[in-house]
Amino acid sequence: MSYTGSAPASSSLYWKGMESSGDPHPPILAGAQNAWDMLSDEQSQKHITTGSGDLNNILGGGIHCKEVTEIGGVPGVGKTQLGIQLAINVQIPVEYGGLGGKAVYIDTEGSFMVERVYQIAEGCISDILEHFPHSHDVRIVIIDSVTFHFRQDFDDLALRTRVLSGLSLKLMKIAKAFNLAVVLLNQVTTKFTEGSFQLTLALGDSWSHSCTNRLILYWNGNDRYAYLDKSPSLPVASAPYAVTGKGVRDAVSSNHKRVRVT
Amino acid sequence: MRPPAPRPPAASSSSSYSQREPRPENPLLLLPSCRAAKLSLGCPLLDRLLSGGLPAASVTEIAGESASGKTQLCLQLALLAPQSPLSASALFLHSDLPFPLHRLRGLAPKSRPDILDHVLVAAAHSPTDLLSLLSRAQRLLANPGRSPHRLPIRLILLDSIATLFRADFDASPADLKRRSALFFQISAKLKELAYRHHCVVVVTNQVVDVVEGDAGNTVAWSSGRRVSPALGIAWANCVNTRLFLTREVDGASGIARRRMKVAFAPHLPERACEFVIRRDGVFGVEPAGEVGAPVLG
Repeated sequence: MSYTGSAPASSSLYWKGMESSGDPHPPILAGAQNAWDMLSDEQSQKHITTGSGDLNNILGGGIHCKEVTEIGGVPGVGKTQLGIQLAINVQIPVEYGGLGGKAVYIDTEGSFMVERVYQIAEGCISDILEHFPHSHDVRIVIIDSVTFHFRQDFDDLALRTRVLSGLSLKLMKIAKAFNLAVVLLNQVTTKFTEGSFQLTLALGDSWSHSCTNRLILYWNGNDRYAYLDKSPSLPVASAPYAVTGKGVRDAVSSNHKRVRVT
Repeated sequence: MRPPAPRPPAASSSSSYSQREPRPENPLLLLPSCRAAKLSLGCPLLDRLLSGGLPAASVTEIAGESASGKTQLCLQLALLAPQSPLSASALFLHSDLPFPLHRLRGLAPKSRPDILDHVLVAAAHSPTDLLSLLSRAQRLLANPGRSPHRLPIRLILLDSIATLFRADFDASPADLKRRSALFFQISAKLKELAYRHHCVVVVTNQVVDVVEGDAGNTVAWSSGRRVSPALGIAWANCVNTRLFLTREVDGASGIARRRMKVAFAPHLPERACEFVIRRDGVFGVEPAGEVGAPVLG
């Protein structure tokens, strides 16, 4: 769908007659934006590719800017690998369909291994690019993991919830204000509910409302899968992916069949 | 009226360090030093499996059933640290009693009689014991000037984490939660030591039997049993790298083959290497010449 993007006058929030110093069309609500402009922003937004076409498909093109995406999964399923892949892929130059941006990687667990980052960067370059241009802004912030520090010191669970929600509000503000993607890696824990132990993402129920999108990484036998659990605009769906020497890629047996999570 | 923003809790409960502002770093500048900061296992095949050896500033877990070689490996590493480019002393925290001193003496090279001076041994009897030992270690590493004759500690071994949690905890949800909280406190202290003082941290773990349903990279066959490292997902979240030592009896020849497998690691592919336990240590071996044997890459 394409359109010219100029807002029809009838949809503006401007109020004729309310003119003050200098600004001929002051908005009613400072900082508000009309929905038409928002739609045109959204359409022109780029996504950050994950490296796997199937994974990009269920995410609607990739990780979205201006949004907070949570990625959870058991240890070893590939959260850090995906985080590093995104930190590399955000740098793909605009001429190659990328954002040409920088990344901020916040490591709380000590899993950020520079030699692996180097491998993934080389894998990306050898697959797509020939050279990197310079001059970028930060377009993605990855926190690996947001969970680690919150699972130690907080005896007061109410305080933990308040700190977490303050954190998530700040991150959402940053995402919107600077038009960047925020990716939070989360751990999996076992919760005792209704008489049995179940696997669930850490940090509790109230945290699960804090992120715009949620992707859950899990094992199906010996294969890795990603499940889009929460999204404002996309249906829930699963996609297989693989972690190779070069980084995150499509699974070898990628056959585009949607697998339902039981 | 909105309540004032909450202040984060005081840092003193988990660390004796003052909080410093984290500085952003450019990974390219870290690349040459990270390649150098690996502790070799003393065997080129095992080193190849681990892309050079055990990384510093990281927690590596070695899991396996009893007599799979975990303690032997730890003793070997404690003796290698002073002789390696790390040029470090080792802090050996053990929860299994008694400490295998005669084995350590047996492994020590005759040419270096002073090498045992660089291995510090302490016993931990409970999780709280371990936490206070780690606090003391933080103070010790922060003030190295006191013992100028000994090399700085840059290897910390914990053998084993599982023994510490066997006694006081049952399987009730409340106890499991209490246990998890201790895992994260212990792991946070270990990671802090690892990061601030550029230490290699090794933790050994036992295995438990698993029933069907578990999949992925944390389940393996060993001695005819389907096993997984103990202490569950909560502890698995606390380590950066997990190595699995397994033992399989080859049906045809009746020979026991031992394998060191990378279960997960942020910088390593999932691969394995066969090894043997000899009197002089743990060493990797090339797989026996079978047709189609995988080549270690």
